[in-house]
Amino acid sequence: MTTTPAQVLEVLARRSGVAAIRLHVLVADRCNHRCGHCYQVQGEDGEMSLREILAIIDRFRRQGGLVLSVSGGEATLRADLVDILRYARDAGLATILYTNAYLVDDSLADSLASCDLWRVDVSLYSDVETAHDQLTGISGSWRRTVAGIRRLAGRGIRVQLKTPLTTAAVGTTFERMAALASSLGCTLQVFDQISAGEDGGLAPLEQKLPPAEVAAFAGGDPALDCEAETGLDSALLDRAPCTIASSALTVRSNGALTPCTHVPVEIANLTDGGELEGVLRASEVVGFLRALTWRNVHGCRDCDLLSACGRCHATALAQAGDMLGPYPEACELAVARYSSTTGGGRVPAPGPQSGVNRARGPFRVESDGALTPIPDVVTAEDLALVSRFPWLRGRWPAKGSGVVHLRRNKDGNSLDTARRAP
Amino acid sequence: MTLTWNDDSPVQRHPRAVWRAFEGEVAIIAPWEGAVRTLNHVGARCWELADGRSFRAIVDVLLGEFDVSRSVLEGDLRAFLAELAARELLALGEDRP
Repeated sequence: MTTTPAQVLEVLARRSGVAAIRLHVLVADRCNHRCGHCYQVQGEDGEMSLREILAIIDRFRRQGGLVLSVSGGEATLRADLVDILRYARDAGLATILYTNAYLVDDSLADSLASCDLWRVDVSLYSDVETAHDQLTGISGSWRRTVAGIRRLAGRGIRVQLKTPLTTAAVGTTFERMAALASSLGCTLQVFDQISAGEDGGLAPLEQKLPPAEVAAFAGGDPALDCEAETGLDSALLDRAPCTIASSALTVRSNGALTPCTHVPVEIANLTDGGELEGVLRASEVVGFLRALTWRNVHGCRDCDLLSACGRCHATALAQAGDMLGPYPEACELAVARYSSTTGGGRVPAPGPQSGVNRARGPFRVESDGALTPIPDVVTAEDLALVSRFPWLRGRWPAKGSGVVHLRRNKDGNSLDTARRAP
Repeated sequence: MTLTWNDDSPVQRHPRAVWRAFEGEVAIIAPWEGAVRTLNHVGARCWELADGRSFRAIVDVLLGEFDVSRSVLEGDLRAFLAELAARELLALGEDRP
């Protein structure tokens, strides 16, 4: 398996001693697309001023930051986006822009080319125009996005297409997407994880590409970056399940610092000042989340498909009410990954057996390759963690409990560019 | 391109390379490539010293910090700089600030 730049950054984040080596900043609380699989809620947080964002960049740089990624909503809706990116670059940071490229005309492409970006990641959901447009909810979005990509790549900017496996990918293949990326002068990243909404809603999961379609999409190519080995070893159990509170640290558009883009626990609001290093080192939540390993995830730590798991703690909370336990979405994906790489992996038909849930793991791989659900053992130590951090369990947290409260913007429309939170 | 360094050759990191030192290691990101490169503590020290000073000046500093003969150190440093140059991480010619 190839080590990706993101994995290198995560390793550095964990051993460097620097409080935050990478920071993801959401600069816009609005979007010009209405993608069905999007986890975000827009129009509730408000947006930081340019001055506030630049101050955060200064603090991030001072404590040893290396990579700053910027997204929204849709970051290009901000008129001062280029000022942000240029400032970050001049501060000695490697910068990544996440965008749908819908608004990238020649003028913006010229400006972005002057920012010396490390990379621009552009969401493109299919090589079929209508499929992409249907998912974004914007007619003509595929054409404008592809035109924007051409403008960026044509100016020497490194562009990576990001293709989550959604319903828009039905009918296309990895090979075709790779060919499109190549023809546009881009690299391609395909991923099979779709997360619950940041308000706890499960609607985004309905846009996930069904497992049978995933296999058809992959077509035997190593499209999905996962391991097919089964079984458990101590080295795997001592690893972190994800990059939460480490290289996934996120600043929301209102300045709230959260462990990642999805988990709604507010560590601090960076618009209140204070050095980032001090904020992070003083945070009990950050200390806890950074120390998490697979050993803390009940059920999963006993599952033979652990190496094929791509769990998301936030989706676990939304779907199963338990941030540190198995949940159907991840278990289904792990089974699909295992099946696609081994040809086995079927789960026996439901039958009477106490103490197991066949809709989710943990699973044991039998000698014939079949999967048997096994009991999910919860220990006193697991329950002690819940006592210490009650937001690990239950429904999505309510406002005033030290977490960011979000609601879906009912009309689904974008905000105008001037709107700020009251 | 074959590069050689004599005693007076300036050795300069590429000005567009973003880098950070972490407890003896260095991580380098060049905007024109996708990789994050890391250097061990010896390479990191060479990188930190590559601030435009001469090849000889770097050798003199390293001789005071590592238990190695001048001839061995010069050979190793030339090889290391050649690797950096091959990855376009050194300022050469018009890239020099």
